[in-house]
Amino acid sequence: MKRLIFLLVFLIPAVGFAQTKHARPYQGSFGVTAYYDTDKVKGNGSDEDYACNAFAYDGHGGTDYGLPLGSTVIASAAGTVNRTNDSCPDYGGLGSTCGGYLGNWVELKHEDGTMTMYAHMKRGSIAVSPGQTVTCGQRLGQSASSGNSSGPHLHWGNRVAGSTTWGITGTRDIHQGGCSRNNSLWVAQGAYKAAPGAECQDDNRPRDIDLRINVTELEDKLTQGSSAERPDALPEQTFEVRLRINNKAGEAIRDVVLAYEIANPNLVAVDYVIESNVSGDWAVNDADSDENNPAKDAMGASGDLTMYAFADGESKRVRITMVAMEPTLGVEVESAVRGFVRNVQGLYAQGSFGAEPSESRTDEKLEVQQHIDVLTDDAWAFESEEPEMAEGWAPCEGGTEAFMEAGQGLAVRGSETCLESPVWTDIAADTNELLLEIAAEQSLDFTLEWSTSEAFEPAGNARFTAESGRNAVYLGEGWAGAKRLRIRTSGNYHLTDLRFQPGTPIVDPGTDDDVVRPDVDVDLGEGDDKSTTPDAVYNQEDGRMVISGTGGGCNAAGAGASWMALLLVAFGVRRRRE
Amino acid sequence: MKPTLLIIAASLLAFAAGCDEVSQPSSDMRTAALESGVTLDVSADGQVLGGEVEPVLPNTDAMRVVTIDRTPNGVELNGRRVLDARMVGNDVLVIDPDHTLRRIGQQAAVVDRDVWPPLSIENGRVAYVKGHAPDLQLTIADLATLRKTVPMPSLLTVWSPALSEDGDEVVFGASVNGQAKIVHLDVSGETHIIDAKGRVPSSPIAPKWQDDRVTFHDEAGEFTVALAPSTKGGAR
Repeated sequence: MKRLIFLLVFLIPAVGFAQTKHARPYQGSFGVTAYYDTDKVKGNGSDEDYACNAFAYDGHGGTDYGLPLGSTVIASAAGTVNRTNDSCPDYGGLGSTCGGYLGNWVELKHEDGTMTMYAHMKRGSIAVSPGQTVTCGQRLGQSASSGNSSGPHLHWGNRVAGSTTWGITGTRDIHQGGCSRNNSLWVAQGAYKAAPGAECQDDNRPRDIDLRINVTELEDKLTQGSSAERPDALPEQTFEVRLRINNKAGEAIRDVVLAYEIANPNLVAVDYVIESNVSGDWAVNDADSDENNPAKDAMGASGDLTMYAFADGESKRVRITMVAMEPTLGVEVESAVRGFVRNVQGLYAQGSFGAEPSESRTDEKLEVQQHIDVLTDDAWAFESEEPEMAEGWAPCEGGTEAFMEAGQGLAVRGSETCLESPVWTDIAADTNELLLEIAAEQSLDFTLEWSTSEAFEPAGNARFTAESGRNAVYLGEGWAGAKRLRIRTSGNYHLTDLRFQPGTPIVDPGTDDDVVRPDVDVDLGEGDDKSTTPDAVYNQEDGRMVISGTGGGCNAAGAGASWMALLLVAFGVRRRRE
Repeated sequence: MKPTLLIIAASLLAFAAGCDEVSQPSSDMRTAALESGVTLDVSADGQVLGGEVEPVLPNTDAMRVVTIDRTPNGVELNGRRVLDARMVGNDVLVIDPDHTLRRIGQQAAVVDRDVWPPLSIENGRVAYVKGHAPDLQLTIADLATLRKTVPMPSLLTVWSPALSEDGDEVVFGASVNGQAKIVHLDVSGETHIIDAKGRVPSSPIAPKWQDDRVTFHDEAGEFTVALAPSTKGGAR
């Protein structure tokens, strides 16, 4: 079977970088009086607008709109007031220096880090102050001709994120055109020389935040049925589940809380660490030691993790160390580890896994889950009609029909049948007995073959006659380390239980009356044919009774209950049935 | 003049005028804008530096550019486009349209870049603002050494500086807490807000400091403020 190293990723689709788009920055439909000089060179005498016409002037770092005195100036997008200047005369005139040449002005900073400038406004009209948040369309003041101005108008400028200057190198033209950019940053650019559209950008536009989950160190051992494409763990195996939040919103996000649920009682979280890649490499983040987060060794089945703020572009991940406990295949419990974002300040809020977010400015629900099955490599119970309950056992070589029959286990039919174990079968060194429960109309002669490699290459075999019911087939230590088994016979039967018994056989011959212990001829592949059926010996040291007889079954009354009890002791767990 | 240019000139609402207008206070600077010919400087011996203000698009904020057509003896600048120009001895300081401040003449040099008018020259120093509007910082350059100082780097929006006659103090317009104010930086480095009853310099004509008084221009015309003795820099 082809092994798949699992790195399953559930990705919330990206929804685009959150660039601020702008609406008409004034009320009314006044047109353009001068565009941005898109050649971006001051003093060269060249004036070129976005449409490659000359409706600009040399070095102009914004767009001028012909607003009459007293027109209402509004925010072109939501943002925060960064600075203002007031008190310059309404009519500055050509060459006026007041207010640093821009007269009375308002500077806004937007969520994507860009800024906008509203200049030459009317003295005393400015209605906002630094630090104040404004919505798109909110009134900022009135237009005039303050500062350097050849007549009433509004100068609207757009400064790129991270720039420290309103000079032409730090600003940009946001029109789409042959001499400008190829995508407009106006919500509706409008016709040449006309006012841009008054419609604001949807303030609830999606933010690009995604949540991922992946599992490391597990393989897809069982590719059948409902376990297909799920990573499979073995009991006591340690692995890692990673929940990762990527902030590509174009802005910082704050107060991020990640909720987790381990919806599988057979998986236990034993440790976790919160890391960030903000410095380039993954490193432990301050959130890892937040006192509100659960103790490292007491995550429990669910909880919240405070993740703190994320810078734009930052990712954080929670690496949860988990241990698989009991087998879960076919068990009617949720076999998943889940995560969802409980909170991102102002952007997202979700109460529980599967619930609709009470607040969402992302395009998708920020929740993920990863199913994880827990298999076992030394015990199988075939009591379901579900194909996946075959747990990797499958027919081998021609003439065999094997399928699940409801309540009757794995049906194996044919004149020459062959059943093969899954590739993850791993017979421990101290295993010396095969426990086999079959249902057949007559006793059958079985041949058990094993291979020490995944690609079946016979390394030894054993022959025995099994009766209908429980069979304890003593094989000794010669097959320890086998990776695959083949069970061959020449008749129909149902296989309902198969497991390996480690250590010295633990049965009580005095009480186990329904177990058949057939004689076994073992061929280790080196001409070492021998009978392995041992005599029953009472172990004086630990009080256990050791099979060492040659008989085909124990007939002592009441032995069945004791046999079952000993099986449970020997194997620790038994698969729960559907 | 073509009719369109007349319309454009009529729409210019302020200071196309130069020193000529300074000497004769105007009650309405907008009328002065109708005059396209300006005098940028007059030397002690009567030589004139002046030119024509270029027309601009109406209802925009293009820079005021003067094409020089009157030059002092020994310096040929006719046809040169400048944002401002002042005479310094036999040389001329000009701000080119790309905002480069140059000394032209016997001691030709680039003094600074990203310079905005007006220039104030006193006692071997020139004061100006430097940067990108509206983030303009007060800068003072020594004309002999070209050494430059930025006396108030934290003050970002400054305009129209006027050096004292000895070049040790400066008065300028500035945005202080979001309001346009007149600020006096005295010789000890202390600043004082000058009460000018809401008026602030806003003309391309540099304010002129004479004795204890500084004369400015704004849209309403010329006005003069007296500096209180306590703000004059008593440490001198």
